[in-house]
Order: sequence, then structure tokens, then C-alpha cells
Amino acid sequence: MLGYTVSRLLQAIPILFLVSLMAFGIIYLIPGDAATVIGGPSASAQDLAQIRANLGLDQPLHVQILTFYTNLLQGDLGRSLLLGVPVTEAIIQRSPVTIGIAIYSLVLTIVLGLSTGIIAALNHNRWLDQAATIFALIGVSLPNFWLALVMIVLFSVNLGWLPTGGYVPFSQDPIGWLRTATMPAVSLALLQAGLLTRITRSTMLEVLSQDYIRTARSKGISEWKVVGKHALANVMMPVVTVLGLILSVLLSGSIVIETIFGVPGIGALLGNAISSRDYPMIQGGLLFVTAALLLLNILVDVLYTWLDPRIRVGGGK
Amino acid sequence: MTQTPLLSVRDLSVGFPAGKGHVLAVDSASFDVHPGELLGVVGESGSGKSVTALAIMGLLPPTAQLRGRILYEGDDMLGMSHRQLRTLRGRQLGMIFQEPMTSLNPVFTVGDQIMEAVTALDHMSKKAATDRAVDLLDKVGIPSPRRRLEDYPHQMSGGMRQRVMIAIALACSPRLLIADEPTTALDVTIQAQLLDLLNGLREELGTAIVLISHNMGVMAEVADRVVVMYASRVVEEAGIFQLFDEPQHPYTEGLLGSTPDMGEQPAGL
Amino acid sequence: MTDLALTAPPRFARTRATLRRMLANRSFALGSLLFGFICIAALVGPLLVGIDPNALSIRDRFQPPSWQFLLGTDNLGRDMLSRVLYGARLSLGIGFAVIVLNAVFGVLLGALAGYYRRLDNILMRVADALMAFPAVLLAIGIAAALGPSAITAIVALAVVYIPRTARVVRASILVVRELDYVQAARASGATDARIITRHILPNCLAPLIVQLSFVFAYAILSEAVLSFLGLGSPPTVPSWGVLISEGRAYMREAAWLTMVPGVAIAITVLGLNLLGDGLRDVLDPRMKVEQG
Repeated sequence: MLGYTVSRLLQAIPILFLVSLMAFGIIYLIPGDAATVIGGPSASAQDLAQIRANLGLDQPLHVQILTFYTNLLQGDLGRSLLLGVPVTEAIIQRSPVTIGIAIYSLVLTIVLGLSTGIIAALNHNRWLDQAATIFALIGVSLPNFWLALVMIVLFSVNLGWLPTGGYVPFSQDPIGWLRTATMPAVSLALLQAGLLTRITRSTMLEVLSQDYIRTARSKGISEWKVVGKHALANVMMPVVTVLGLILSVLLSGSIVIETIFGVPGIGALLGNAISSRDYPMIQGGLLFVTAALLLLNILVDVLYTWLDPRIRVGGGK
Repeated sequence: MTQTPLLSVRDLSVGFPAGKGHVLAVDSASFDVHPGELLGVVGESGSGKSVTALAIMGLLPPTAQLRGRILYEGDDMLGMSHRQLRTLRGRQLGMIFQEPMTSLNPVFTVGDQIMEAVTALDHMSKKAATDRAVDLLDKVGIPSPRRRLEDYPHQMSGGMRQRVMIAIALACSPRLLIADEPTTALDVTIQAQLLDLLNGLREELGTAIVLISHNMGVMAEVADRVVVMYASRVVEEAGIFQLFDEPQHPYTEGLLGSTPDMGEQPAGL
Repeated sequence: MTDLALTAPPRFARTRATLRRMLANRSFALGSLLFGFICIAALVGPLLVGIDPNALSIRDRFQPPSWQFLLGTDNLGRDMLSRVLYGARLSLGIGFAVIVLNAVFGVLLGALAGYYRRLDNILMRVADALMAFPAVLLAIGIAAALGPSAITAIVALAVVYIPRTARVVRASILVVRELDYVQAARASGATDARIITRHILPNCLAPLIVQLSFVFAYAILSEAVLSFLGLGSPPTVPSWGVLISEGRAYMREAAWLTMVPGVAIAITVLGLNLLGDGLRDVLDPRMKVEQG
């Protein structure tokens, strides 16, 4: 398994290289002169020269690339134009907030998606199944930022249960954290929960028709154990494979959701960078999040091989 | 036969919804299984053998419509609650399925799956359950059984897996064992070994066995009596010698005709 | 190998039967109903309503839905029904442009990768890298560099989803190219171009159509995100995302400003998802679509 992990990490290197090259190249997509776009119409010639020097745009391309990679290998993603601090520092400082909400949202997704999918499969073609299917379809069809706005209107403005936004760190006040993090987490979770429900339902239906489920029933063990042990263990594996996809949707969603709720995480950081044309921050954020996702995906794949004894133990015939 | 039957199937019909109507998979089948005997059920695929077996076990999908009676020691199983059926499956009945490659759960060890059957209805210590599992594996002829408990199904051959299935079916010391084409998916030498094993277990434990097969040769080797099914119906029920000597139904004659040399040593092993 | 296996399967003979099965599929029927309704509303609606979506009327600010203003008015007294209908044209137009680009480049790149082994490696590594980015995040990055406009949104979303479409095309080509009748065509000296266009592509059509209907749905959702962040169309030509973003400031007083475009997006995406599910059930039951 260690060998597998290492080989997956090695495979990720060329992809990571291409990803970083693309992130680097984004600044060249700016039509016309990048410095003019960044500086805005009021910038003087001196300002523009300063911007070019800061971003290294006055250097030849190959020098720029070389500098970019030299810095990257040292963990340096450049300096934010807006905040004046290193991009890496800003991201690391903000990441606990985003990670916290992401975990909360992931837990909601898994609990909601798995249970709905399993309930649907166990009631195949009955009304509970139909209801779960409709729930899942609506879940994957709603824009999450719109859902966030609807929840604010409903739970904050009309019912007054939760604050419209803001953020309280968990370490300071867990209840406060729960009050501020719940709506962002739920609005992020619903889409993925719909996705997970659909996958769980179809996998569960397939597993329930397997011979080993019939064997389990023939032993005279309880139906609860047949489903909760024998079926669930086999459903978990395909579900684990979509974890990477779920995390990816979750992290891209956080830009809009954190902006809406005023949560000071990586998403809001990027949202601000976009509206203020802070390109080093956009590039750095894009690269950072993507690299993190690549690593998480490898982790998920390793977890998968660990879950499946056919791969973990080997010696198959 | 003067004994009271262990299992008595009376006018059993099983239908499945298909399109707008439904199809009859079993049509008014009746037969008896006596304690300790080996009853063969023969017929071509689709003749309703497997459906009959699953009906006895109460393992048919909920869409199946059943009529008639299945009496286990005089009690009608079709009128039983889920809990009663479960208890019956856990204490009195065992079943071996056709596909050893897919009948075991791939993510649990063989030992876990046997012990689960051992402890399904009886609470016992982990050690007692392990000992019982070892004992069962030993009984079905798996060498160094204690070590194999930790194996996953994919680490075993088809024949070995089927032995594990037999161990699971025997876990509750059932009085009736249903074996649905247990050797069809395996190669010929393994087939013979497993049939030997089943027959030996019957003699040793006194378990009645319903052996389902499409192969008359297999029946000739081990069965006491044979039920012949054709197109969802029981067309003939007779002792093995009688069946080979004077087949009553044209389909039975056809079956015998396709296994010409088996009639010569009906009881031979 | 029989003679039958050497000729392409008779596809057109089955078209009618396929069509009948589609209409009998509940997902497909409901999906086309919803999506068809939105499309017709976008095409005909603005003509029927006949109100300029940018006509200001300060007197009629923040009118809730009523007989006079069916979907109410916004902070500048503009008619929401008209704005949503014009918004439909833009949102659907962007989605449509994205799937056209997906069809063209997805098929081209997928076919090249699937047919030519040497190109396969390079193209698929690039596709892997593009797909390693979270879809919406990459679109945001590209759009942020290109500057806000509807064209920007189209380009950004096309770049994000083309690798995914190309993968689907490539996967089915890898299967089809080994089939007997393709080998036979090759043996009889047909050119690569002819083999690809005549024998291979028609058989990739089913997964492609299913994929495109899902890409359309994702494009509508992602375009709304881009517009919401100010990276899509300008407020004078409002797409649905822009309308939601504009309405956000008045959520307390005039919730309908955000509700109406949100429901429009939901109906469209729901319709497309149902359509895609139905198409997959009928055309290509084994296919599994995963998107990021």
C-alpha cells in the first residue's frame, strides 16, 4: 500500500506541473496590457511600471517562468496586491475557517446523502423512494448561492433564528460557530447531498440484488444486520470514490457562499481578489486549492484500497 | 413411507409480475421431504426448481405472489411472521447456492461470515464461536481451518468457497439443507468431492437434504427419491430405482435418455 | 465472425422505436416539458410581454407581483417579468453556445485522442490537468483574467467542460474502434477520416448527447455563479445570475427580485437534468456521468 501511495504521488507530479503552468498562464489571458487592467484608468505611468516590476512582467517570459517556479518550490506564491502580504501567508491564515466549514458541510453531505440514498433503495419504487429521488434532483438543480439567499430571508430575516452572516471561531465559542457556520455549511451541502443520494441509491440497489445478501438472509440474521453490515460495507466503497468530486464542488462553492455570509475564509479571500483584480492572489488561490484537492484525491484513493480487502490483502485467484 | 414428513409442500404456486400480467414460475407443486432423506429435484433451467427452493427459505423478493402451503413440521411457513421465519432459517434450515464466487460477501473474512451464522440466534463467547467455526470448516474438509478463518473469499478457489458456504449452512445444525445446484459452477473432480461431502454429512448428522440439479447423473449417485419438475409443474415424484426403471412422464424418459450410462449403477459412489 | 458483424448496426431503422421509448420515459417527458417551456418562454415571451426590460419607472419601484406587474418590479421600477424573459435568452444563449463549443471541440479532441494513440497521451495529460481544477473555480479564474462579458463566460465554461466531453467521446471511441466492422472498413482501405466520420462518430452520438444535456445544466448553474460574482454579462443585459446578484441588496424588502430568477434557473436545470437522465436511460443505460 505504501508503494501504491508513492506511485500515486509520483503520478501527480506532471499533473501538478501542468496545473501550475496553467495557473501561471492566467495572467496572459488578460486582454491588452495586464498592468493597465490591474492599475485601472487612474494609474500613472509610474504606477504601471511599479505594477510590472512587482509582478515581474518587465522580465522576459522565460525569466518569469523560472522565477515563478523557483519561488513556488519555496512555497512562495507571490504577494497580494490588495493586502500587501504574501499570498501563501494569507491563504494559510484563512484556511482553518474554510476547512472547518468544509468538514461540517462534508459531514452533513454524507449523513444526508447516504441515509436518503439508502432509504430510497430500501423502499424501491415506493413513495419514499420517489420522494428521495425528487429531493436529490432538486438538490442538484438549485444554485447554491441562491439557496443561501433564500435561507437568509427565511431563517434570519423572517424567523430571526440565525445571524445573516459573520463568523465566530470555534475555539472562541462553539455555539457561536455553529450559529454562523450552519447556513454556509447547509447551502454548500445540499447540492452534494443530492449527488450522493443518487449514487448511494443506485449502488445500494445493485448491492441488494447480490448473491451474498441472499446468503446473509439465509443465515437467519436480522434484516438490520443484513443491510447495516453486509450491504453498507459494499456501498461505502463506490461512495468513497465520489468523495474527491464532492470536495471539489464544495471548495469551489465556498467562494460565493463565504462572500454571501461574510465568512473570512479562503473563498471570501478569492472573492475579494476577483473583484479587486488581485491577480497574484487569484493565481495563488487557484493553485493552492487545486493542489490541495489533488492530494485529497490521492488520499481518497488510498483509503479506497484500504477499504477493499480484494486490493488490500491481495492473493486473489 | 410411513414417517411424518419434515417438510411438506402442498399446491404451491409462485407468480411474478411481468409487464401488465404475471407469470407463474411454480404451478401447484406438491411434494414431501422426510427426515434424513436426500430428495433430488430435477428439471431444466426455468422449470421452477430454484424458485421453489427460495420459497421454502422465504427468500423470494417481495414482489412474488405465493399460494398454497409449505408445512414445516406441520406449521404453515407462508403464514409465519418475518421474525418466525428468521428463527426457522437460523435454527432449522440451511441453504447452499449455485454461485460460490458471488455468494460470499467480498469485504468480510470467511471466519466472520461463518461466526455470524453461528451466533445469529445464540449468544456465545467469541472464543466459543471461533471454535465452532473451526469445527465447521474442519467438518467440510478445509485443511488448517484455524488459519483460513482470516482469509477473504477472494483468496479461496471456487470449490473452497462452496465448502465455506456449506459450513455456513451447517452452522445452526439444520434439520433441512437445501442445495441449489451446488456443484454446477465447479469442475468435475470438485463436483464429485462436494457430493461426497454432502452425502457424508447427511449420514453423519442426519440432516435431510433437498438437492436441486439439472443433472440426472448426480441424482443417480446420491438421491433417495426424485421430484421431476417440468414447465413450472411437478410431473413426477418417485424413488430413485423406480424412476430409472419405469419413468412415468415423457420428460423424465427424455432426461434419462440423455444420461445413458447412469442407469447401470444407480446407488454407486 | 458473421457477415452481419462486418456492417455497421442499422441505426436509422431503430430511430422510431428509440423515439417511442423516449416519450414513454417519465424523466424524459417531464424534462422536455420543463425545458421546452423555458425555451419557448425565452423565444416568444419578450414579444408577448412587449415591455422594455430596461425601461425605468421610479414611480413603480419595488412593486410586488400583481396583475399589473406579474412578477413585480425592481429598485428602478423595471418590469421583472420582462427582465427574466430577456435574461432567459441570455442564460440559455450562453448555455447553448457552451454546448456547441463542447460538441465541436469535445468531438474533435476526443476523436483525435481516441483514434491516434500518440496524441492520446498528450491530450489526456492536458485534460487531466484541466480537470484537476475544480470546474467552477477554473471558470472563475479564466473569467477574472478575460474581464467581464457574456463571451468571457462562454469561453471560460467551454474551456472547463470540453476536456470532460472529450473524455466521454474518447472512451466510446476506444470501444468502437476495435469492433469488427471498423476493422473491416480499415482492412478495405478506407481513410482514417472516413472511418472516423462514417463509422465511429455515429456510434458515439448517444453518450455525447447525454453528456451535452448535463453540460448544458452545469453551464447554466456556473454561468449564474460567474454573473453573481460580476464576471458575466453587464447589468444592462441581465442574465439570471445578474438578476439574483442585483436583487440581493433588497432581499428584505423585495424577496421576489431574487426568488424569480432563482426559480427560473432551478426549473431550467431540473428540466435538463431530467432530460439527461431520461436520455441516458433510453440511449445509454450503462453510462455514468460524473462532473465537477
